[in-house]
Amino acid sequence: MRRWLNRQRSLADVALASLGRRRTRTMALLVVYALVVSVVAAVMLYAQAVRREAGRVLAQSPAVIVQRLQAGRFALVPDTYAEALRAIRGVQSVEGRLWGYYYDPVLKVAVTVMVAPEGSAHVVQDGHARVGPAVARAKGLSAGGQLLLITTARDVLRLTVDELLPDESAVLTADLILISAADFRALFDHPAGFYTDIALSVANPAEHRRVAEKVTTRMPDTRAIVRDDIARTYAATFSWREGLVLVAFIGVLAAFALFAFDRASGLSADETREIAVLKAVGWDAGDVMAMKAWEGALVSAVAFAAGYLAAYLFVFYVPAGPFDGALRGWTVVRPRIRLTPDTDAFQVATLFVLSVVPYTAAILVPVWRAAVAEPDVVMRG
Amino acid sequence: MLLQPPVLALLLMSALEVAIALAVIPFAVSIVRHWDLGDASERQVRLERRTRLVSTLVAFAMGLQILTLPVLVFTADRLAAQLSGAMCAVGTLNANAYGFAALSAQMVAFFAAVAWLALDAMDVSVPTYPLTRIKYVAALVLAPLLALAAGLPVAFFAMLEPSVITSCCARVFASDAPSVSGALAAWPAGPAMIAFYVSLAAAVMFSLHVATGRRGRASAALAGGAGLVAFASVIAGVVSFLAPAVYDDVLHHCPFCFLKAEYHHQGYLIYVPLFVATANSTWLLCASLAARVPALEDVLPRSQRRWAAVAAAGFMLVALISSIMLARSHVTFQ
Repeated sequence: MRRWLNRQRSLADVALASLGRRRTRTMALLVVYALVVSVVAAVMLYAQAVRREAGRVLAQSPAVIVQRLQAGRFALVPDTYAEALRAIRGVQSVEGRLWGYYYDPVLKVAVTVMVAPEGSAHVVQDGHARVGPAVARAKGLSAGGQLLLITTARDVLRLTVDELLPDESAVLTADLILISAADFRALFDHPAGFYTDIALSVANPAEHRRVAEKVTTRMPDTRAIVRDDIARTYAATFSWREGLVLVAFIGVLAAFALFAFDRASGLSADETREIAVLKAVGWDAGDVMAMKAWEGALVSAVAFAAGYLAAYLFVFYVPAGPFDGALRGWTVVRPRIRLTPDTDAFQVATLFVLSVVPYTAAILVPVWRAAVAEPDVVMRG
Repeated sequence: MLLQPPVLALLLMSALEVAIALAVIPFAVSIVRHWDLGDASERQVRLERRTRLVSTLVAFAMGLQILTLPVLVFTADRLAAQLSGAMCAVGTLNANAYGFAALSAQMVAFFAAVAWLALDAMDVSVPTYPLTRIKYVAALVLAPLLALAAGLPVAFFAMLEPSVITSCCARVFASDAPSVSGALAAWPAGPAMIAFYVSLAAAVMFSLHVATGRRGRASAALAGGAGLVAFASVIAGVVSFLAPAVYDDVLHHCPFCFLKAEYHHQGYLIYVPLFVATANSTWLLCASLAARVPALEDVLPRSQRRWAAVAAAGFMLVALISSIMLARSHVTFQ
């Protein structure tokens, strides 16, 4: 074992010295390699962080949301449904919700208008509103300012802006306007005795699906959306988008593999002489291949570490990177969210396979060609 | 669900494995037909030069194959979050007909790859390359297996529909399930424990016997065979009693859940030494077959001793860690 370790250390020494003698070529390879790793790593880190953020947000959403359908279309829910839902075993609380989308003709974007649940700290009085940070930014609003909304009847609803919703909740509240129930009904001409939908809280997570089944059995004109299903859909969507972006970079990976192959094939005069000398002093093809493998491993290790670090800094410390649009979508009232780093060993291993394996595969044949070259042929040029 | 990063990584590895396996076939055929170290013809010199490259390429493919198995399991585990009804890798693998077939093929290919690497290691350890022809016959035999092991996960992930409701591990490994998994879950803990510890003790004993002296073919074969039997009985034991002991739930027999963070990744403490030990047992078995070759007489005993020592240590570790898990459990088995 000690002998084997000593041999590997010596091979690594020779490989390192050899790379050092060809500093410019090595640096060029390292930069390109690290760039490729960083691009792939940035996509993966970003997607993982967005997935985590979505999971965090969804953890606070209702366990089951009940919507009413009429002729296959979304319809308002009579408040009598709430009583019937309360009678279902396992349902802890029932909350009728009022919310809708308001198209702002100035911003040319739909924002969410909602009535805060009763008893919450965000309840606003009639004639007042609380707005999310992205809406406030887009409309130039601040606490004490006037928010003008056009009702369905083309009247102007004047609301005084209370304090803004905090930036920390931006991922949930960026495009949100909270108003009172009376103002909501006036704005959308929403009939009394009806809710937009009903949120159920169910204490036991294992019963969410069972409760949803009971709801749709007892009220055939409704559909019940389980939180786990929304979480699953978000996870699948972000992973799919992540995969799609990575597929778009397959060309880059292939080009890099070709570059590595070409670079490993085109040995410089110094390199060929070096190999010839090594073989002339007794190294066999296996030793040369092992030395070349060490060179590849050292380059891969440095490029992988540098690329991963660059991607990490880029994703978590440079706001709105280029993958933002592709993975999160587009909107005028985009929330400013600070992504929380979330990495794990499996993600690093996946990145390793996607970046280092193609490089290793690309250099195998050139390394062998270098190793089997006869010293006298090489020295004679 | 092909457009998932771990699946793309798996596809990349599988594509490389198959490409190498197919590219090697013509060379392997000419080695099998023409390899003769006593011949000084140009063709023989060319074959000798190329064999190092081809061996390295095949070893690279086999290395990838060894990596593919854990990547498949991890990927299946990750995708469980996107499938209705799935709680771990079992739910994902159970979502269509190709899941468990892919896992089984990967397991077989894993140990086949390990065996081929043993042949390669023994072959290159002697300047006369005594196992070259056998090694390439093995590569030819393994090529379809590698293609199958690479193709089944592709079919599995391509057919995997997020809208499908799958069964979780509690259903698959329920003692009343009419399947092998159900039969293992229903196996009473008493006989399962006896088989578990007896097979581990036998594997340790036979391996130590080889590790401590210059032993012959029969000893190596016995140690290798005992190691494979121990592998099977440990997997059966995990389903029967060890997993319920870790979960503190006699009805939860899943052999995958205890790899998850919520069980502090305890499964790795069992599976890593188990697979390392079994890989070394496979090498011992290969060594017992190769021991007939006179050229290997000098080098083989040293390698055998090393492999046997690792196998014995691995199986001992499995027995020790399992015992600790059982001692810490609150489950009482009848």
